[in-house]
Amino acid sequence: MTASFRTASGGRVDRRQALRFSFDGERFEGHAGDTLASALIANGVHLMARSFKYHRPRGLLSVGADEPNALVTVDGGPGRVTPNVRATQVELYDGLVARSQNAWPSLKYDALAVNSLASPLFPSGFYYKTFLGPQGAWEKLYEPVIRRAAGLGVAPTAADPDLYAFAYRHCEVAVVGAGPAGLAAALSAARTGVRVILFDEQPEFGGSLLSETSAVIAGAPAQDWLKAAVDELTAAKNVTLLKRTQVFGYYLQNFLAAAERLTDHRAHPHGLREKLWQVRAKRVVLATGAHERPLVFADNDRPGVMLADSARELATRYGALPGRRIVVATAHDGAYRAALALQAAGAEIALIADSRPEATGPWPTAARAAGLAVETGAAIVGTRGALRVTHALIGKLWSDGRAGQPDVIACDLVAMSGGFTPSVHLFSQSRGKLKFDAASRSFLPGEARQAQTSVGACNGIFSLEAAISEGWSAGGGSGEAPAVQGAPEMTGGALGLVAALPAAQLSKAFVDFQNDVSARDIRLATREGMRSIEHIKRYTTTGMATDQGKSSNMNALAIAAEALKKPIAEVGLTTFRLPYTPVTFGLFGGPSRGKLFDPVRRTPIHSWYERQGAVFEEAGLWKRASRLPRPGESRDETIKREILTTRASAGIMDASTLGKIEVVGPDAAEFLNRVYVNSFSKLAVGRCRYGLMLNEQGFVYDDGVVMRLGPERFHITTTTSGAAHVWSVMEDYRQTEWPELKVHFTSISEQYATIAINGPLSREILSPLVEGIDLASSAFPHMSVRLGKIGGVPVRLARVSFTGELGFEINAPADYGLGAHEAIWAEAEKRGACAYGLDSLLVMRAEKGFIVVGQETDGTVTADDLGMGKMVAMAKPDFIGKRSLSLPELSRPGRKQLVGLLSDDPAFVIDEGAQVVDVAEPPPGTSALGHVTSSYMSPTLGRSFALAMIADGRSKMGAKLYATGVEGTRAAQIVDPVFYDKGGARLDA
Amino acid sequence: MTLEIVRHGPLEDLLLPLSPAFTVQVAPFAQRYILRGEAGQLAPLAGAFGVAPPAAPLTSAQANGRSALWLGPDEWLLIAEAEAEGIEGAIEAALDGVFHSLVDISHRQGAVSLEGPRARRPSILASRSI
Repeated sequence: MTASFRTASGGRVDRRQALRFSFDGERFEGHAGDTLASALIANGVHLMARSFKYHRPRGLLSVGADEPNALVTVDGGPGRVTPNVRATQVELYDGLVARSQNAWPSLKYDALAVNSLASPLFPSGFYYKTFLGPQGAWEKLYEPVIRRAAGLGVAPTAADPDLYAFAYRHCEVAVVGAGPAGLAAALSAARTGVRVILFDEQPEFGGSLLSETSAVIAGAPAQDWLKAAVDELTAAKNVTLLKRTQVFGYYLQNFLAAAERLTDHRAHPHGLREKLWQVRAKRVVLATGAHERPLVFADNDRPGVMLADSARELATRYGALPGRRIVVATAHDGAYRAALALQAAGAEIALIADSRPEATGPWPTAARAAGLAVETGAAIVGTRGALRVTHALIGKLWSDGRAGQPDVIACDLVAMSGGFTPSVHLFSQSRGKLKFDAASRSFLPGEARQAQTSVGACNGIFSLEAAISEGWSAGGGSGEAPAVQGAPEMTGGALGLVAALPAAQLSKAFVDFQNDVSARDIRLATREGMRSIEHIKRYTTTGMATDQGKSSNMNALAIAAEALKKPIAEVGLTTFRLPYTPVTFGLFGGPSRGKLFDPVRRTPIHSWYERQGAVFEEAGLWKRASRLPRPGESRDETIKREILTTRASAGIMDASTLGKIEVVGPDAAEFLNRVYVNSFSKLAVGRCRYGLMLNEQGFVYDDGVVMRLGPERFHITTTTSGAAHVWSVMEDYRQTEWPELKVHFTSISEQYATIAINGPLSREILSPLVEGIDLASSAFPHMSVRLGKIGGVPVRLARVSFTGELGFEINAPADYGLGAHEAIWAEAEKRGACAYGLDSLLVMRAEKGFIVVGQETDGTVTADDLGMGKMVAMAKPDFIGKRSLSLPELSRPGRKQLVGLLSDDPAFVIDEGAQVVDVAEPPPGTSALGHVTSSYMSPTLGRSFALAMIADGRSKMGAKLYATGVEGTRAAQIVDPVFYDKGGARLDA
Repeated sequence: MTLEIVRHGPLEDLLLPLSPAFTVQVAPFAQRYILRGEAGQLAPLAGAFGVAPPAAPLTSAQANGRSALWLGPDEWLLIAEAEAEGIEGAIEAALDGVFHSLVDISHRQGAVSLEGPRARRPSILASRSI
């Protein structure tokens, strides 16, 4: 059974086969090539939605991406329910299930349509008034009620089973939009042999040519020329054709982001659902077309009131007749072409009402010649009808802009045209400056900021011949652009209210259809004091819906300008924001999901610690062993055992997560001089030095050990979480600040597994294993590095210690890390050593007063604050942060300094983060003198201890202070931050 | 008894898919180096290593089981068979006097090989969780 409004013939739909689909449970038929919207129209269905705020019945305004009303939910099965899809972009397939949104219990009988009756209470910004009180009413009454009534669509709850991927490309020419201008550009560029990528958001290339029935291009009917062009581009090896691909973002340096839809149009999708294309183009050609503008008049939003060119496209491209008795209301010649096309498709044109004083162009002339009734100087001022338009009200315009008593004309479709707005969204996103063209009263691309050209309708060029010619030359090819006949020029346009309306009707004259913003709202905004277009936009929410103001921005601007009594150019447009059309979350996630969302990083030695039953914690993405509990041990007992064993005999630990960078070149030492506070020029080969890094503000942000392996080679370490950042800071400075320095960096964090062994028996444990290195203290002093072997495996052996005991770090190539650890453990275990984790390490290093960046420091701490002022080699000509160190703020008295803190009660462990004050019972408003950064129970000392940052701490040794806690303050005393072996004798065991 | 330390590659336990469209396997161990320097000055590598680092972006040069892959305007990945000896020495000698950085990163990376007529399709690489 053919749908009742299907035209007898014509269009690009495949009439041979019927596709079945359902909308709100009702079954219909359509054809391949239909969208859900065109198939519904072919079945005579115009009521597709209820508006956002007022729940007014709505139908199609447009057949394109700019459609604001017909948002539907497509139900593709569990996990594939997509809300807020424009029905005009849903490709029909057999078995499609779609539902309307925002209506209950049904689209026809929507209970919340009462909002419409109460609409005088709900103008734009009404909720600001609810903030005025009474207190508590917002939270308890207004917000819950508004929340239930507001919103479009229901968010899906099932997990998304589909897959998404990323694709990256470079090209010489990227063409956005495959209408006539874009195709011309792509053809011309392709023939020069360069790499071309052509994007179009529709399932077929052609743009406006897909509904072009009269023009002749290069001697062939437009649609034949189109097919030949697409065939040529398809065959060209240097051309990538991306249809169903929406370029939604234009970033800096000609970087484009586009969303390709691969399976949404399939009944049984499998494989990738969407691909995110990220393209860097040498040149971009924007051929993004133009959007038709609605007329602004009372009740211009009824189902059956739509844009004229969309009505024409429904008939000519989709073979769907949007009405049988049509009133055309226009200020643009294009509606005359639409009237003729609709008449040819079988409709009766009741009247063409043109609000201009006269219409003499080729299309109005042709319409009159075809016997259509034309009335100029007449404007549409209203419509009648409930769920569908039944009448149009047409009045003669007076010179003051008001209309006389309107004639009431029966119709089932109003085709309206206010002209066309060039689509400059992407141009604007690319930071191009728009310029207001007074002749056309539109914003056109002005000064571009990137290597790009705008061609065709988006550049204000509406003549088909001129658009193709402009596209052709933008493509950069030689030769003549194809000649065009049979495409007479069209002019005209209107902005804002088409006729002055009585105040009572202004609230029904819609400007932004999706957000239910009327002409009254915009005037209200200016009366409430909004002057800037940015404020008017946000106060009314015009242009803020998912259609991003494609059909509303210019009308809103015109109404605002008139209310403000300023010229349009002075009021200006708001910023166009990404994305051009909505993009799914899945697309941005790409392959980063499930296990890959937050990948887990394990060291090569991880499995050994796992088998030992270690407890793990996260350091960034890494898993690190916190401790290795024996059966029955509490956390404190484990830590106590690990520390006492390490200090008495030895302990080993996996330190592989530390960042490591190999710094190589004749200027390596000089470079390191400039990124650390210390000086490395005189560091001998085979020696190590602890280095502190400042940022440009002079604050400590990373530390590590620098090992000199050769005159021009260093192996430096960083904190685990700082590794990538330090590497990129170094690379950045090398490339941009000191490109004359001959030095290179290579990340070796994962090249080496690092095993730390600390304790008086460390040397004894390593001796049987290490080949080629004399481990005696005289030959291998503290803070040295040697190259040798363990079990035939080459290692970099450093004598360093973070615990204060005699210590070594074995850097073995990662694949040998586990084996090396096992070998060392075999020797260690024999001598009663243990393995220890991060928990114990943190206590042991704190006992020695060693800082942890990010714990003692917080981005506002200088080297001097930490008591490391002497480490800063100010005599160096320059290093990062040096200038800032001379700022008075960074050396003034009262700065917080690193000190130790011993609570009066040796069994009490002060809270980390506790604020420190100088009175036992601080009244509210008391300022803290500082805070506790690290706090532990120390088995070594047999009592609790803490490190703290206290104002002028170093000059307050012995002072009594109070640390705050949940149960009140506790007395404590400021002491030296080194609690254990201050002289460092144990390092030389 | 001499100590022998077993080598465990990072991809030892990797579960890989079976498919008629392509073969995917963990690649054997290899020697790998990051070479950094100026493109125009590295021609001596052709003799010392077997291939010269290519200057064109996103290209590789291969010969006799050795490859040099372009990673950036001043960075290349050199790959050689695991058993080869003296590579570092040979390259350092050949580039004596030329500013460069050569760092052994044989253990920093593991490799998976993907072969078959459909191996080039990027969606295969992007669409599966490995």
